[in-house]
Amino acid sequence: MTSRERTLAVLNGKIADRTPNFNILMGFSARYGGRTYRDYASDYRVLCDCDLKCAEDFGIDLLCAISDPMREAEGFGANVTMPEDDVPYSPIPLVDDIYNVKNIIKTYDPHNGKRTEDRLKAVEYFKKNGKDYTVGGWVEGAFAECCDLRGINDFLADVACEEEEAIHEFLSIVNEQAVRFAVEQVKAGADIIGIGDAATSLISPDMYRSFAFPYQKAIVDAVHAAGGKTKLHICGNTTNVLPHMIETGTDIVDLDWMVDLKRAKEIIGGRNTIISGNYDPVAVLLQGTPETVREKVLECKSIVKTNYISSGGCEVPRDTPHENLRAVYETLRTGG
Amino acid sequence: MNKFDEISELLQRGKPRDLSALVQAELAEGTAANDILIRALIPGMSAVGERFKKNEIFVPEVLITARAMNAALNVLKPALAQAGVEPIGTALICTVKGDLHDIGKNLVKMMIEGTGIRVIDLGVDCPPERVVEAVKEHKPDIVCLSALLTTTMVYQKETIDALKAAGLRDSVKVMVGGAPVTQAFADEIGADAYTPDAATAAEKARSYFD
Repeated sequence: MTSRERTLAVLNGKIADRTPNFNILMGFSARYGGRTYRDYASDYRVLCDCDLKCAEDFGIDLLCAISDPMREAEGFGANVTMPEDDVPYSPIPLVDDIYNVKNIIKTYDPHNGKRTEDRLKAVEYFKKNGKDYTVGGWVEGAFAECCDLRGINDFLADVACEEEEAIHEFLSIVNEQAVRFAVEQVKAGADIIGIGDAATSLISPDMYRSFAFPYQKAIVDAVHAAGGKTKLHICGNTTNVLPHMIETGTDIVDLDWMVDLKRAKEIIGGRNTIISGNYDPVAVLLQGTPETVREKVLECKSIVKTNYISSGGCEVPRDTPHENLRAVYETLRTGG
Repeated sequence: MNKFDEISELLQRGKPRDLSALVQAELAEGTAANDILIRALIPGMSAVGERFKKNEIFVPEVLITARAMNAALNVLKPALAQAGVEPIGTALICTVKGDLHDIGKNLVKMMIEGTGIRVIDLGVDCPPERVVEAVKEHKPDIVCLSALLTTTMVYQKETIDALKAAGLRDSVKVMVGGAPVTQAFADEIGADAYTPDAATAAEKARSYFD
């Protein structure tokens, strides 16, 4: 089976020749390809060529057009700094007043959003040059995007003590953009859209239900209507909010390493949600050995068994020893 | 409800304006600043820490409590200084070189302040030499180093090494934390403590003075 056939088999509930490998590359890929992170995050050809090389050398089954969370924020008008070899960031948050959001940000055409356009081109490039692979797009979830635009400290405090209507107005504008961007990526050729909603592991299940769930579900629904699949990725311990994550209808829940897979499997119960995860990227991939990688890859796989995709809990750390990432593929190839 | 419980309650609900006003009123009525700190604010922060550890409240609630605590301390500080009340010790805190993520650092800072320890915040992206200079200047008891990224956690080690090279390592307890950090990593780089969350960090910091 090609990577594409293998992944589509799992996504459609069929038997694959082995478990797919969905490790998220980014910093590792730029370093492996000998490029700076600034080049990787700002030029789709660099990102795509680095990732294609990694996919081939390390047996990764998903080509994913992801580099950093600031692409959409930049499109909204945020001032984004691109360090030469580090992740882009916004030094001064764009939204300085939660009660004045609609005068500060407006939705925009992702084809005219600087690096959102670059991501669309990355998806097209992958589709054209990586025919044997599954192609992934990416959007920030609305809650995470509000954190990007407002500053995480301020937005989390806002949700705890400011008017709910103001929070929802902010989330709604941002989510309209996320839906639009996600659908454009599907049109450009993405099979799967990753939805990254990092900060939602830091809030209570009640808050999640109110401020994260409806917006995530709207993205999932829109991607499905456009013919794509979704992967909901939330950094951190999401055990408390996992029932809501599943209820969004996402095809894949991407679980960070703090989540107990046995518990996650119980929560999913009879539903066909696919689990992706969740060995510790630092302790296993970065600091482990090929032997510990093998052990943990097999352990995760044996817990979930079916409807399963292999991955670290989050991004492969930039300085991960090559033999460790190769050990994921070798383990899946020989024992998966 | 007595006045200390009332102050603690406002703190735990994260009401900075009401809290500041009440603290101000109590001071005007002659309540000792140190009593407000020890009998209302510190127990209030400690209760918040406990509820956070038990998953009863989450980061947004702790953040607004921390802001309220900050507001109350600003009202209280002149009165404490006037009464000659000294903090039980000093901690220095920062995110390490290259790391701009400060939410964890801010939470730890406020929780440690909530135990009566003075905290000097060096902010984000703090290179080892700046930590060394600040240790020389402020002579803290504790140095807290935060790193959220796998690419920056190595600077926790470099900072500890710089403290060693400057002959300052034995004068401070070094605490490390952040999402990718583990006890094993803390042991490997020679930190005195790793704590997985802000409430535990505050307890650990406080324990150095018991």
